[in-house]
Amino acid sequence: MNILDIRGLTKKFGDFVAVDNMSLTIREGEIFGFLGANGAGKSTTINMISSLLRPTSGEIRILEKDIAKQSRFAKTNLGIVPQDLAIYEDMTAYENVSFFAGLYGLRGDKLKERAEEALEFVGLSDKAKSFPKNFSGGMKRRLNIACAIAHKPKLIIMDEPTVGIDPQSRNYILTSVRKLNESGCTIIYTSHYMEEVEEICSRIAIVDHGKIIAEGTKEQLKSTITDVKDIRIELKSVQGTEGELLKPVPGVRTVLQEENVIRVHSDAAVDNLNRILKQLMDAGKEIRSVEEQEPNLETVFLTLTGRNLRD
Amino acid sequence: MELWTVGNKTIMLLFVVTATYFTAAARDVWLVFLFLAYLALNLILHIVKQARTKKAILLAIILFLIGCAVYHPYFALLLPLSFNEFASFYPRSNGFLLLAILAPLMVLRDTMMILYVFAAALSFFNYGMVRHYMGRVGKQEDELENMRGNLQKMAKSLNENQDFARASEYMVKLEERNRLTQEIHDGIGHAMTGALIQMEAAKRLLNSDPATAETLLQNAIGISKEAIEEIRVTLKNNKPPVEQLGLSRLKTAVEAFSGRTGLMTSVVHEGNMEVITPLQWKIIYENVTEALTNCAKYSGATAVHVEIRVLNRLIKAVVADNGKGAAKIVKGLGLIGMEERTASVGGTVVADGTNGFNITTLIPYAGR
Repeated sequence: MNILDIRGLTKKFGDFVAVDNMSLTIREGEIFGFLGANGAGKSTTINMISSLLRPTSGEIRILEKDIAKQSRFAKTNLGIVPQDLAIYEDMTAYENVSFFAGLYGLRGDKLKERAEEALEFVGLSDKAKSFPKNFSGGMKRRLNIACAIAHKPKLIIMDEPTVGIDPQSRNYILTSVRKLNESGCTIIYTSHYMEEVEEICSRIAIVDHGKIIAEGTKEQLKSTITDVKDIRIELKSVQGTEGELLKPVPGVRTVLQEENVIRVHSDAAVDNLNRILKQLMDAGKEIRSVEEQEPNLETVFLTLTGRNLRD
Repeated sequence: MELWTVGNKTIMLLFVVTATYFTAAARDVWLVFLFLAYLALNLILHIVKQARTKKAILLAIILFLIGCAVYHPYFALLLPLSFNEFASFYPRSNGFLLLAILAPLMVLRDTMMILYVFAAALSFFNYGMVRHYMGRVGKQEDELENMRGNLQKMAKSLNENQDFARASEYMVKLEERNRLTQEIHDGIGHAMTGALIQMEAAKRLLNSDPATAETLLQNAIGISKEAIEEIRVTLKNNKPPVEQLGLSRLKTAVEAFSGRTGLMTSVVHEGNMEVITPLQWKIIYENVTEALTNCAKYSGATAVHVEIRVLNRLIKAVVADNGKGAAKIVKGLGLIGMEERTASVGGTVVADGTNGFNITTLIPYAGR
C-alpha cells in the first residue's frame, strides 16, 4: 500500500514558489530520503505533510486518505521529528514523552507503557527522571525522537535529525532509524548530508528549487550520470600487456595506462574488482594501491544542478 | 508659444472689457471702438509672416495701448502681454523686458497700480516659464530629429547587411551545387559513360563473339555497381546528420544572440549528441533561446555560457550567466512556458539565481 501519495503539491509564499508541482509516492516499509540544499523546499514539503502549512494547491494522501479531509486519521498515523527541537526543558524526559503521547490520545497504563518503551528505544531509560536542560545536543535529539514515536505511528518524518550533534549520537540515531524501519515503520528522512542519505535510504529524491529533479534508488540515481566506474591500480611496473590481460574480465570496457598506473573503465553495475585484481596477481604483477572511483550522490547532485549540496 | 499668447491675451482682454463695462459711468462708444481696433491689430499680427513686420505691428500695438491707457487706464493692463510678445523675438532680454513692463507703473495710481503689478507679474512669470519649456522642447525635437536620422542610417546599413547575408548564402548554395555537379560529373558521369560504351560494344559482339561480349557486359555491371555505391556515398556525405543540424542551429542562434546584444557567449557540448531526438532538440533550442532572451533583458550579465551534456540517462542543457541573479525567483510566462514544454517529454526545468542566473533543462532519454 502507498503510505504517502503527493499529487501536484505547490506552496507559494507571495510570488515565491517554495514547492513547485511536486508529485511523489512512498510505499510502506521504505526509508525515503529527501536530499537537497538548504532552501530547496524540503522543510516546506514536510510541514505540508504534517498539516503545519496549508498547500497552495495539490493533494496529500496518507494511507490513501486525504489529509485535508481526514486530518485526525493522518495525525494519528504520523510521527514528526522536527528540525528545531520540540521538547520542554523544565519537564523530565519521561514527562515530555508522556505529554506528547497524551496529545495523541494515549491514556493510563498504556500511556505509561508506551512512554517507557519509547525512552528505552532511544536509550534514555536511565535518564527518564532528568531534565533535558542538562542533556547534550545528541540526547535532546534522541528525546525528541522518543516524543515522536511513543504513539507508534506508521509514518515517521525526520527533518534533519542529525544537524549539529556529535558523531556518536549521530550513529545512534542512524541505527535507531534502521531499527524503526525493521519494526515496520516507513520513514521519510531529510538531510543535506549526502553520506547519511546514501547510507540508510532505500529510495531517494533529489530536490532543488521546490522540484524533484531525480528520484530512485541510489544506484538508479548514479546511473543517470554514468554507468562507468573508474578503477586506478598502481603497479610496481607496467609492461603494457595489462590491457590484454583484463579484457576478458566481465564489465571491463577500456584499459588505459599512465606511467605505472593502469586505469580501468568498467560497468558500475558489475562487481568485478576481485576478478580484475586476481587476473593481475595471477600474472605476477605487484599491486601497490587500488582506488575505485564511483559516482556518489554528491557528484549526481553537482552534475544535475551545477552546484554543491553545501555552500 | 502662439497658442499660449493668444489664450493669455484673450483672458486679459475679457477681464479688461468686463472691468471697463462695470466701471464706466455711461455708455462709451469710443471704448468699444478702441477694443475692436486692438483686436484688429492683433489679428493682423497673426496674419503677417515676416519677423520685421511683426515687430513693427507689435510696436504699433504698444503705442496704441499707451494712447488708449491715457483715455482709459485699464488698457494699460494689456501692455505686459505685448511687451512679452515683443521680447520673444530677442532671446536673453528678460531684464529689459522687466524694466519695460514696470515702466508704466510711474504713471499709474492706486487700484490701477496694484492691478497692473499683479497682471504684469503673472504674465512675466508665465512667459518666462513657457519660454524655458519651449527651449527645452526645441532641444528635444532637434535630438529626436538627429536620432531619426541615425535610425534611418542604421536601418539602411542593416538592410545592406541582410542583402549581403542573403547574397553570401546564395553564393554558398551555388558553390555547394557546383561541387555536387562536379562530383556527379567526375565520378558517376564518367562511370556511366564507360558502362554505356562497354554495353554498346557488347551488343555488337553479341552474335560474333559471345565470350568477349559477356566479359564486356560483366565490366559494365561492375562499373554500374560501383557508380551506384558512389551515388550512395555522395548522398550520405552531403546529408548532415541530425545531431549536427541541432547543434549547429543552436550555435548559430547563440552567436546571433551574441552579435545582437554584445554579450560574450560560449557553447560547450559533451557526450554523445546522437541520442538527442529532433523533438528534444526543438525543446532544448526553444528553452535556450528563451533563457538567452531573459538574460539579455534582466540579468545585467556580460557573459553567458550554454552547455549541452548527454549523461547516461539524462540530457542536460544549461544556460548560465554572470549577472546579478535573483535571490527569489518569480516565475514569469517564459519560465512557465519552458516548464510546460519540457514536461511534455517528461523533463524538468530548474531555475537558480544564487550565482548569476542559471536555467537547467533536464530531459530523460531511453538510453542505448
